Amino acid sequence: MELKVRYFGQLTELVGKQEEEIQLQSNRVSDLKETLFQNYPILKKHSFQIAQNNQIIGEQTKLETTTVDLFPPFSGG
Amino acid sequence: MRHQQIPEIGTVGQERLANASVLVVGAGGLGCPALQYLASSGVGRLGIVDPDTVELSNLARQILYNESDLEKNKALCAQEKLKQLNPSIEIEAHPFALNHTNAFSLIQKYDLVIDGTDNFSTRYLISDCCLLLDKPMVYGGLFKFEGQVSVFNYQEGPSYRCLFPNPPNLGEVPNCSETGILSVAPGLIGLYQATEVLKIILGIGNPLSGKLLSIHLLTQKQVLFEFQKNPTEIERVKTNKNPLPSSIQDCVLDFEISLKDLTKEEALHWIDVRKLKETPRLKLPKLTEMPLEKWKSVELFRSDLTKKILFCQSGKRSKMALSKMKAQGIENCFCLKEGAEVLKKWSEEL
Repeated sequence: MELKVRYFGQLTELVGKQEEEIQLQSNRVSDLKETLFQNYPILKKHSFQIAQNNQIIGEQTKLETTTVDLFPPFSGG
Repeated sequence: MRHQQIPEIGTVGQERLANASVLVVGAGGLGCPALQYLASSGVGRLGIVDPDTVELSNLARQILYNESDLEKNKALCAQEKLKQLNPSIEIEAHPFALNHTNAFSLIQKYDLVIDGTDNFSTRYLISDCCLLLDKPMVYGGLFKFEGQVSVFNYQEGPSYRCLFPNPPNLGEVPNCSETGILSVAPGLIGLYQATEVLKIILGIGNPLSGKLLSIHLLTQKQVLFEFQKNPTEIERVKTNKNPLPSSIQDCVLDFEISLKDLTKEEALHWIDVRKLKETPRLKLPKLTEMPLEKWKSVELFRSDLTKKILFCQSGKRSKMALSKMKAQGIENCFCLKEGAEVLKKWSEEL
């Protein structure tokens, strides 16, 4: 499946883009993560959440949309 | 006050504000605007926690302060300014860092807490205490041109740990002073936090519980993410009855020690975390050489009740080592502010 991934915060700098289209073998979140880790090994060291339809999803959720959002924890100050 | 003309607020709402108390942890970029509006809105009692002093680089976004305030403690300085703004409310300054010994009793004295901190250890500490004390925590986060806002522990809603179960690793997420920040970003996010506080006190609208508002100022795009309560994470904190050790993982400031604070008589256990080939090597009465990259277990320190001091070449690795010790619950350990060179001179003078 084709999926648009939108990045937030520091993730945009780690992957070097705001958003991109990626190809996935399945609609599993684990597949999405594996693909991202393959493309950007640095992401393995960073925590982030994944949302579809503005709902934060876990490993077990099936991807049903064409766009997902990835956001990391933000610092403050 | 114009508030009272709004039927949703009225005199009853204004009285609610007067009877409410809010603790603002961090009187920086987020805390300043939030404090100003909470004071001017007539919130009856405000507490301000901040150990830091005003620096020139703060002034662009920490708008309570001006050049004549440089070097002053932020909590005390903010208290002074806010008293001028609204003399009819109580303003309490706590000019020290929130830590695991004072957090509980301090947070207990207020109805809710604004998280205006610049570090994850304090944020997790606030989060765990608020969860255990059943107080709402109004969170604000920043990254350059972006911000996040949410409300945790509101009417048994999700907690910060439901979103991010554990603090990031040391250095994983940079703070504002490392990345830089658009001056207005904390202003806007701080005001979103103040808005959530007013909504909660007044009982109007829908506080951002179980929702994370994400704002990008360059595109003005906003996204409202929704998330669920994670019972495992809530239970983890509740069964511990205290903030989890991870909340002090990178809370190194309170555990940084300088040679001038140490005396000759004191029994100390020195731990050198540098690589074995790094010089100068030191000769100290009780010394363990334990290069950081080879750390597997810190168990051998668990039964050692002596004051343990970690050191390295510059003070950076010893901080990382300290956070590992703290995360494992090793007591009475500190990291040395100075590096090995200075320590060598100090030990030779003894």
